[in-house]
This record gives sequence, structure tokens and C-alpha cells, in this order.
Amino acid sequence: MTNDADFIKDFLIESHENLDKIDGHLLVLEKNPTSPESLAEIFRAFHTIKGTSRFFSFKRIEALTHAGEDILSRLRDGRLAFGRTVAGALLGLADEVRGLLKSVEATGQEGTKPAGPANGPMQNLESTAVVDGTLRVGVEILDRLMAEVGELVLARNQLMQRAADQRDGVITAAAQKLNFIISDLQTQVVKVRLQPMSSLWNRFPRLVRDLCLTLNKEVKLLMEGADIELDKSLLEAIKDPLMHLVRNAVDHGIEKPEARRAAGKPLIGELKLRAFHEGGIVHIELSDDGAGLHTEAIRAAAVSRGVVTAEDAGRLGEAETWALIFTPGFSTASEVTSVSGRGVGLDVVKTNIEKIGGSVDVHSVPGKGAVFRVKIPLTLAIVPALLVVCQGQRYAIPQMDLLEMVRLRPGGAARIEWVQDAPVYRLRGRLLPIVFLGQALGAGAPVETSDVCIVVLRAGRASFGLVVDRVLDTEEIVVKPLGRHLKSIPVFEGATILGDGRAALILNVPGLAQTAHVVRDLHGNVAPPEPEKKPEPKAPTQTFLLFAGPDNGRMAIPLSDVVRLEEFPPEAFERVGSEEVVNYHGEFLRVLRMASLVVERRRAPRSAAGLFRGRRRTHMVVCRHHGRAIGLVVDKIMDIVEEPVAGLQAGSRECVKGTTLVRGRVTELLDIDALMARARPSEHFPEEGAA
Amino acid sequence: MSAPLCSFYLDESLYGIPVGLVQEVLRGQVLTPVPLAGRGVQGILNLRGRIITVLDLRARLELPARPPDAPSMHILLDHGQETVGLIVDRIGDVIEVEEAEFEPLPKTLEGAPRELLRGAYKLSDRLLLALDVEKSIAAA
Repeated sequence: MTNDADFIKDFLIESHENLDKIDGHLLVLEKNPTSPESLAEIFRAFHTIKGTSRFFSFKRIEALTHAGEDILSRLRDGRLAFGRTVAGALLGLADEVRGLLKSVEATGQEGTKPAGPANGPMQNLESTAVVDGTLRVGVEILDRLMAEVGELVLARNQLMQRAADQRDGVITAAAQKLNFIISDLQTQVVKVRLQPMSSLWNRFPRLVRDLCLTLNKEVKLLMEGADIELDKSLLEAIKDPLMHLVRNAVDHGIEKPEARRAAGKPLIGELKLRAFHEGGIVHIELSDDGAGLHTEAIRAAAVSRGVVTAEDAGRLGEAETWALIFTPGFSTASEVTSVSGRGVGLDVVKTNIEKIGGSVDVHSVPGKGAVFRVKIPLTLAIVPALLVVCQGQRYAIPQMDLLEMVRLRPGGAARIEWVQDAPVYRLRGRLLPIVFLGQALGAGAPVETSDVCIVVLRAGRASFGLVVDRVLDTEEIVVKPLGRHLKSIPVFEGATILGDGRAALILNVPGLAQTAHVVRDLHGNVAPPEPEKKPEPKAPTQTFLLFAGPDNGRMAIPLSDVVRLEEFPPEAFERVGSEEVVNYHGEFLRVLRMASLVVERRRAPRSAAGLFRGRRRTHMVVCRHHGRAIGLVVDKIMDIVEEPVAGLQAGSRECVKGTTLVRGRVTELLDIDALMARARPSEHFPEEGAA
Repeated sequence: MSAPLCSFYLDESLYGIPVGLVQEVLRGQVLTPVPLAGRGVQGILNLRGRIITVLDLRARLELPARPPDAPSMHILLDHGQETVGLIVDRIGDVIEVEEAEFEPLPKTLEGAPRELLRGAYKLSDRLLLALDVEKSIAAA
């Protein structure tokens, strides 16, 4: 498989060298207008660039260098005399080529903009590596820089410990200064390695275009979030996997125009690349509106390859079936095309992504398309954060979750009030649930409630106030992952190193909201704080929200996916096209009704409207998963239970992950991914027309 | 047959782990405590820009909790993709142990230490308890 990018890079470097040679020899010719050696060298240089540019179909460069060759032959033949005009023309030609090379370097194509203004040859003395005020640096140099800065930080730490004891003010001041400089250096070096996603994605339009030509398909590529930055090494690692996924989508995903027309789809297929950063993870979604994954074909192929037995295959749920495409050697494409290759399949994509600690999964709607989701935990993301102090320790709160801050003074009118045993604060007329950070972190009930700082945070659609001891300042922090012992603590999303070299934990705001029970229990009160975590539970348990589904069956959803329980009068629900929404805190929340979602076994299905007619209040569970929220309308909320997750039998209906026993009764566990997909996963809230 | 073990003290008992697993030994580190992490986690520290989890084996070995302000050293272990730290009281010497001197655990020993210790080596003046590193630093 050719690596276009490397060839182009070589071409660029070589061409710049040749152009410099041309400049150099032109100078010689100015002194010695008939020097055969210089004439030959200049001709050779133009000729080489022309040849390689033809290979890449850079027609404009080819034409210019051809013109250059032409002038040189005439000079050699004596049909033209070398003078100022000829020199000017050749220099101008060379500069135009440079301009086009710049365009190739930036976008992979020559572009249609007129080439840049002609500079004199002497002005372009900068090395070939300088482009637009940026500098190319070898990654090895950066690695060394990083390692050495790391050592500097260690030495700085040791110094700071001693410097504090020093009587000598000069030493203390110098140490302090060194401290700041090294911290800043550390941050800058980390930043240097960050590159925007676009540096990876800008080769894709060309790739898609070439694929379309080869495969006789028409695909439009949309890209969103190209300015998200990732460490260079992570970008390198996902380059091939993403390219493979793009190839895969065009090759196997999007149908040929005839098939699309027959299916009533627009002739031009759509491939959408979307990147966003959430909670210390970079999400990259590649969605297509192609044929989607054919579940039956996948199961059949898996059985014939011996990946699963026929019996097991029958019991596989949708998501599990799709996951099969990532197993080694798997390919259901009836013809192995030269584009996607044989066996260099999705298993390699998965392995490469997992190597950097990421994950990949796929979701599909047959006939409509598929979405591949890549998640990469960030080791080197820089986010602005607010530093706060609680119980003598510093914590960082990502600024994107921060709404505002309130300072309460003792004896002032504003104070924390209590609704039964739930603390609240009146913020501009609305009651803001209050969480005491110390309490959420395991300290006892709060002592101080009148001289406090409240940091108002957003968690999904809700907001709450976090009480801390002190607010420090806002800083740009580098998000680092926590190790495997700490990864699963819901209230922390990572750690960072502060200016003084100490590690500090980064709070996960949704996790905090969850743990501190901004979710209401059945009676509408804030549930009492969770008892101390049991050490080493014998069997892993999970907390579920139980509710009644259609047929009065019992259904469950993990409580971690639930944000709130709400009640609405039936009139609050409105239809927008074929979807149902409800006005929820000023936004439209997509609503799914259990009755319509889960195919009923009755022969005469009741209509959704009939089910709710006559009820005064409709119960809705607001679910949030991976940043998207929907409202799930259910018959009746039953209970919140903590049960061991065991013996999950594969579910037999759509949107059901499986059935299990909860408190001795058969309960269906909902597949939140499937639910979200029904609500069109690519939007936070529904908007008319695709994004 | 002998294998070198890195030895350390926890509450006056001497433990040993294969030297090959030890990446580094640190002194005088400031740890950031991690609330809600459970007793086995002493905290996190900054190692040249990386966040390292430091474990306290006392909980897992059912030893009394570490007194605050007790002197400590940290042993950094290579654990697959991750570096994990152990907080210990004192570092001992690297000891070449003889397999001939190895004894499995006495049947009278019950509880968690049974799971985490492979056995003991009889040194000339005392016992060295051989730690099963995998089990000791496994995440819960």
C-alpha cells in the first residue's frame, strides 16, 4: 500500500532543493551567461520536478517546469540570450512553483488560487522546512526535549523543598523564579507536541475523491471538529486506522449510485467525520449514510469462520453482532477490493487504537448507515480549569462545566437553605441543589455552611452548586489519566500537575452529580448520601432504575445513565415531524416512548396515545449517555435497586440488551446505545435537517 | 539457583520482590491523597510529568494502618503499561535468595496474606516474605 503522504513529503523536499539549485545557478549565469554546466544543472532541475509532479498529477507545476525547460533549451541552443529579462522570468517561474509547493504541503493539492507574489531569489533563503511562520521539527528532538524537561521538573522539585528552608532570600527568590520558569517550560513543551486533527484529516478529501473515481461512487465528505488538538504521537497512531475506516466506509458502506437511487437515497453518499472533546476523551465519529451493517450476513460469516457456533450466533444481540466485525480475518465483502485489501481489516484498526488506550465500536441501522466511534483518552490535553480547595487539598474543575460562582458571607442574607435534608440555594429565584464537595469526597456532614464558596456547575441539563472551602484561580491544566486502580472512581476524571509540581485530581462533574444524588429518588427528595463503599464486594453489582414497560413487564436501565426523573402533563409533549419532543428547561429534549420502542407481543398493539390518555402526569426518565440526552417515557417508575450483574440472557427484542433476574423477577435490561441510536445519535437535540 | 530480590520493610516485617520488576526507588515524595479510593491507595504522585498511583500494601496484608508522618520510601514497579508505586517504611538490600531456602506458607496462616504471599525465604537471621506482586498490585 503506497503511503502518499511520505512520497509527497519527499517530493516537496526534493523539489525545494532543486529550486534552490536553480536559484544558485542563475546567480552563476549572471556572472557567466554561457556557463554550460549551470545551464545543464538548471535544465536538469526543472526536468526532475516536472517528472515527479506529473506522477502526482500536479498539472500546474508540470506546466510551469515545462516552460522552464523550454527556456533552458533555447538558451542552450543559442536561440535566446541570457540577460536580466530571462533571469527574471526564470526566477519568477521558480517562485510560482514554490507557491504551488506550499499549497501542496498545506492541502495535498495544488489548489486553484493564483501562486504567491514573486520574491527575489535572495529573499527565500529560509530553509525548505519553513512554512507560513511555522517550523518543522523532528519528533525525536521533541521527545528529548520532553524527557529533559521532565528531569528539570524533578530537580526543581528537590530544589524547592530545600529552598523553602533557606534563610538566604536570594536563593529563595531565585528558586521561586526557576520554579515558575520550569513549570511554564513544561506546559509549553507539552503544547508543542499538540497538533490539530486537521493535519491528519486534510488528506481525506483527496483520498475520498480518488476512491470515488476508482469505485464509481459519489461521496461527499463532511468534517467537523478539525481544530481539536492531539499529541503528535496519538495522531500518528490513529492515522492509519482512520484512513482504513474512511476507505472502508466508501468501499463497503456507501452503495453505488444505482443502488442508492433504488433505495430512495440521494445519489451522493455522505461521510461525516466529527471530532469533539469530552471529559478527557477525544471522540472521533465516522458516520455514513450507506447500507449499514447486515446483521444476518455478519452472523453467518462468523459462524462459517468458526468465530461463534451457530447456536451462540442466534443469541447474539445487535451490538454484539456488530462487534464481530472487529475480529481478525473477518470480512463479509463478497469481493475483496484492491482498495480495502484482504485481511488488513478492522481487527488491525481495533488493535492499533487500543494500543494507545483508546476504543472503537460501531453502531448501525440497516439500510440507513453506520457510525464508527473512536475514543481516545487524552494524556496530553490542555483544558482551562478552575482550581478550588477542599479540606486542604486542591482540585481542578474543567471550565466547560462551570456556569458561575457565588460567595456567601456569614450574616449575609444569602444562605444555604434546607428542603427536608436536601441543601439548596436560591439562585435568582430558582432552587439550586447544593453538594458539599467535602461530603461527596467522604468527609462527614459539612460544618461550615455560611461562609462558603459555591461553584455553580452544569451536569447534563441540570445544574447544581458545589460548595468548596476556597476558590483559587483559573489555569490551563494538562489532563493526565489516572491509573487502573483509580479509573473507575466516578467523581474523578483524571489528574494534573500544578505549578508547584504537586499532583491534583480533576473532578468529573457528571460523576459528582451522580454520586451526590442530584438524581431524585422515588419520592422526589434527594436520597441520603451513599453509605461508605464496601471493600472488595464479592460479586460486582450495579445500580438500576426499575420501571414498568409495556405489557406491565419489568425493565431496567443502569442508574449511571439516568440524570433525572421528571413528570409532565401529557400536553407538554409536542411532535416535531415524526419525532416527539418536550420542552425541558428551555431546550427541546427528544422523547422516546417505551410503548412504541419495544415491539409488543400482543397481536393488536395499543396506540401510544391511547396508553396515556386519561393519565394526569406522564413519567419520563431523562437519560444521558456519552453526552447525549433523551427522555424516556415509561408507565411507572418502580424502584432503584443494586443488584449483581449476572446471568444476562441475550435480549430478544430491539433496544433490549438482555434479560436478568432482579429481586427474583424477570427483568429486561435496556440497551442504552440502541435507545440513543433511535434518537438519532449525531445530535444533542433534534434539529430539522442534518447538521 | 538464586534470584535477586529487592527487599523492604513494612511494619518491621521484611518483604521481597523480584529486582527485575523494580523501576526506581524514590525518597521524600509528596503524595496527593485520593478520596474514595479505599485504604489500599496511598495517593498519587508526580513522576517527571506522569501521574503514578501509589499503593499501600498494609491494607491488603491486614497490617495496621500506616501512622501519619512515618518515614517512607516509594518503590516504583513496572506493571504492564503502567508504573505503580508502593509505599514502604524502609528499603532493605538487594538479597540473593536461594530456592533451597524457600518454604511455602504455614497452613496456620489465614486471610488475605495467604493470597498475596508466595512463601518465605529463610535468611540467616530472619525470614524474608516473598510477595506475589501480580496479586498484590491488582486493581480491585
